[in-house]
Amino acid sequence: MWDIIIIAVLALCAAAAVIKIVKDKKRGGCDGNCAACGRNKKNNRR
Amino acid sequence: MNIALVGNQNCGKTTLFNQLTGSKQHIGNFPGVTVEQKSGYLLGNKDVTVVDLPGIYSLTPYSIEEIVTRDYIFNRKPDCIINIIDATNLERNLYLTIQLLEMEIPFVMALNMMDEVRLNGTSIDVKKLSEELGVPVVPISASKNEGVSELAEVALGRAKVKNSAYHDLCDGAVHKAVHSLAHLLEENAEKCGFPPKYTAIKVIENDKSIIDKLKLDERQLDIIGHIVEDMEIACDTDREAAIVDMRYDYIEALCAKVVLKKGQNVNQEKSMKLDRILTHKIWAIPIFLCVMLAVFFMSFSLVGKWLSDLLTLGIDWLTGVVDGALTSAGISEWLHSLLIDGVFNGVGSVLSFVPTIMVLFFLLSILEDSGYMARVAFVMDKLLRKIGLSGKSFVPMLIGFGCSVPGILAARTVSSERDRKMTVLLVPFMSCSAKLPIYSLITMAFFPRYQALVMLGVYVLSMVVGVLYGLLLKVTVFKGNPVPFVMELPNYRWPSLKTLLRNSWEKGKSFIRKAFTVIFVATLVIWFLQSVDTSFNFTSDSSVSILAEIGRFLSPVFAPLGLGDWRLTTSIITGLTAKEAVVSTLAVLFGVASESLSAVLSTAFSPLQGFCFLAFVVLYMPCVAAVAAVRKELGSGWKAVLAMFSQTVVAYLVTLIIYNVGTLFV
Repeated sequence: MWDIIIIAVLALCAAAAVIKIVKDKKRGGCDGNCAACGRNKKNNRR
Repeated sequence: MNIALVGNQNCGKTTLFNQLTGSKQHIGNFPGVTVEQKSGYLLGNKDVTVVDLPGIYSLTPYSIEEIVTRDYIFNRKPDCIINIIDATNLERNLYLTIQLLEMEIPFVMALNMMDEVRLNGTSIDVKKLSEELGVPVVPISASKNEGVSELAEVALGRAKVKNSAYHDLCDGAVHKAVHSLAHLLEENAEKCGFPPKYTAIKVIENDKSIIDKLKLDERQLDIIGHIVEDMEIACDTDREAAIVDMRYDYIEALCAKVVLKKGQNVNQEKSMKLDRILTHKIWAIPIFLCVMLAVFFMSFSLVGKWLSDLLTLGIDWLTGVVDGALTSAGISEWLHSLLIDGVFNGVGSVLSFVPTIMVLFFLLSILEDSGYMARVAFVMDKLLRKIGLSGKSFVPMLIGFGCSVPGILAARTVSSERDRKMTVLLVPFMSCSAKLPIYSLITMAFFPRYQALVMLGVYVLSMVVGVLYGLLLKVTVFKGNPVPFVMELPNYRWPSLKTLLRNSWEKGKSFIRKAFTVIFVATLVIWFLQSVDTSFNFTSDSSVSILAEIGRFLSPVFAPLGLGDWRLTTSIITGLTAKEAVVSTLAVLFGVASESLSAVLSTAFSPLQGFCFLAFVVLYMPCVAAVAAVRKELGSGWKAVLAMFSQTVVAYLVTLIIYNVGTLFV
């Protein structure tokens, strides 16, 4: 029982992480808070 | 509704942008921090967008920043512009204001740094300045949030005025030429959406981009030639200088009217005294090295290390608790291994370095915010010139020490195409902060007594190899001379605690985010590959795993560098996803928590191998995100591949030399 719960949680986390990585890659690979890329999490209107 | 912020470099635009929008953009006390436009909503008014444009000195497109700003003003037509002026440098800042007046667009002037003006004992007649220019002027202090809400109100009111009347700045020959050309070019200008008198000034200035857009016929070009020639004879100077003189004559007369009392610039005097030491032609570089040594010592041997050790204790405690819980819950062996040896060891090994990184960036922000880094750029100009670059390339390189991606993008501030491409190729040589956990781990394992010194040595190695690579580029691909370097040295100031905390928190946050995304996924993949053999059966002996087979296949390439162990080879390869993955991979492959990893490494390898590993990791090609940035900036996939291949070859050769020379002595 615990095995299934843990595997499900891990799979969900991994999927969320992959989505985040793909999103970051689309934005040019940076975390969006750097000096030069000019994006900011709150005001991402570029 | 759109409000754009326009002003000189380092006059406080981003500070004002952050105050107006409540956002947290990076601020630095050196010119060129903003490269592209940034936008955000005005606080409490979602209908108004505020755009922060890069700092510029004029609207004549000499650099990419000037082009970005001018294109934005003409193409996007903001409803109002806030022209930010550093009131302590009124005369120079007004040069851009005059050009905005010429463009006949509605704008409001924000007279920033008024607190410093008062402190200096200077007095400016704000009302008179507003009357003379015909635009509203609001005195503010962006850093102290004084006058910012009034400024926003005035700007919103001004946005309702669609056009601003042309302000006649000149008389005599230039005046005559401007008026004659304005009549001649009226129709062409209207078609392009430019005001006629502005167009006339640009034509006199010989602004090629505007002249091309006007599509002038032979007759018009001929008449322009005659009018400009007459003006040049009458002014006894060339066409560009005539317009510059016209603007400065007006500014001089204006300042004489509005600056009632010129005080002593106390800050400037103090800065000049400090500069005599910090930019000394002999002592400047040794002082810089000492400062950096102190920064590394504080981060890696003192405060940062203590905090990291504390966090490691916390992570280990949590790992123990989860380990116990999993055992008592009767979880299957492979899942237990995945969670503890994979996720907790892998992610935990990267997370434990967050305090070190935050302390390092706190200290670096002090250097940046105080104005010291601008001096370093000035000092470095002489050195960079020797490799065919100017001090302007120093800022992207400096940003590259944080992360290569913004560093590569920041190379856009470099006006010459040759210098820009060369900077793009050299930024990946600068050691990015993602490599810090690797340095920290390896120095802790092999050189515990000389951590700060080895760390400084690694940085110096990356810079020296970068310089040599630059020299190679200079005599091969990028022949020619760098552009002249002109940079404003800001006054020294006490760093703002808020900015320091924000900068270090942003860096720490980015590490934490990476640990739970890239590192987490990489850890799962690495754990899977090292737990499954080639027949896809679960195995507890990682030396027969798929990963071991891949590592063994590649390790002969690295064996001449002393890095023939398949686990080291594998970590070098995973480092291409993100450099922090090197540490998490080693933690997973050695099956130990971050606390014991350095001890395990020190028994498995020799200090020479440790140093060779450091040297290769610092120099080899950057992560995929940085490679994508290089590709974007060079505009060619093949060129990017070639650049990355050459960088890895350089890393290989340097490490080969270090290993072979080292084996002679060890």
